[in-house]
Amino acid sequence: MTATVPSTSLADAAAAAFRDHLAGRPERMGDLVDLVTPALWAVARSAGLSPAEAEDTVQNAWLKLVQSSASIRDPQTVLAWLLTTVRRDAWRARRQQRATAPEPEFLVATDDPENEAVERDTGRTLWGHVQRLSPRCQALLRVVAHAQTPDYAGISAALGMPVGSIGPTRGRCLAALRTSLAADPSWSW
Amino acid sequence: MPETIPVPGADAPLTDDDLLLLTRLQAAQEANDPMPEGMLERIHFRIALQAMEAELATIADQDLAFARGGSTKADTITFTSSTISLTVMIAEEDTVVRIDGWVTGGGLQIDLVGDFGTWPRTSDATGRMVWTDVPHGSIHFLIHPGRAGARLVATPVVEV
Repeated sequence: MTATVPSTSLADAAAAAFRDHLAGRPERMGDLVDLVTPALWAVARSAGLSPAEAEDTVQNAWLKLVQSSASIRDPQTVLAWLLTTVRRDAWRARRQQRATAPEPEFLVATDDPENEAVERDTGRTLWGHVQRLSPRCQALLRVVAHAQTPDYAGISAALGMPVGSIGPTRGRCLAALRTSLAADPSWSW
Repeated sequence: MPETIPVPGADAPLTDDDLLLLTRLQAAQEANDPMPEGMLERIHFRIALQAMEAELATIADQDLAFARGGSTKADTITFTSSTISLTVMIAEEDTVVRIDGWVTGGGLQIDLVGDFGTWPRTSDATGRMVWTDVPHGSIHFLIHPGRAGARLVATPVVEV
């Protein structure tokens, strides 16, 4: 039984803002920034960059977009363009770093009922499982979660992952997360 | 590559539980890894500078905390660009702020820009200028070029 999904995808909303910007409404670039930056942050952080490095990578992607916006032939691809740019630049920055591992930021929840309330509020247990996924799966799920519609095909392609079967399926990353959660006795749905 | 190993349930259709999990994931990332304060504003600012073809001055490393929304307010900051250097000293006076500036060059127009508007000053022969009764808040400076064809220089936003 598949649920109904909202009709405007993040890709469509981004394309509309970008088209308006190209048509001479500069304030729509600001809308595009507000709309897409959270997803770009997620991609940069999933690559293991520190907050400052992630911010720089995302900011530079926006500056590149502004500089080359006239040369992007299809406005519909602007979200993919941005996701791909941040993904590549973040991985390049990560390879150049001396540090070998991202800081572990998650806490492990216990069976303490008080912590269940904390879990409801902060999602710490869930976050720990997300951070244990591969960087690509982290990026994909974090971006899809922002998008509110599971725009798997567009987002998967932009993040360099193979697209699965036609139609909205769970996908390997979401399936991997569910498997990981199911194996954790402290996790409750 | 690990990603070619099949994962059970990957081909299953998306269910309401999956959408709920994604909603919880959205809440978890907002709680556990939000964007830094001011990040969107800084991006808007950089894009605006690019549109103005202004050069963005840099702040010395030890002063960087002030530009990134740290809790401490600035007292002395030096901004450096390819052509010019501006040092400002910020002093609290009751509920307002006094800013003494020193720029490498006399007769230059420096604008103090904030929510209150744009307050221009011209540096004297020793490169100095002053702004009094400045309200607290986010500000930046624009340094107008001293010769034809040179670029406008903007400083990052700081808190006073």
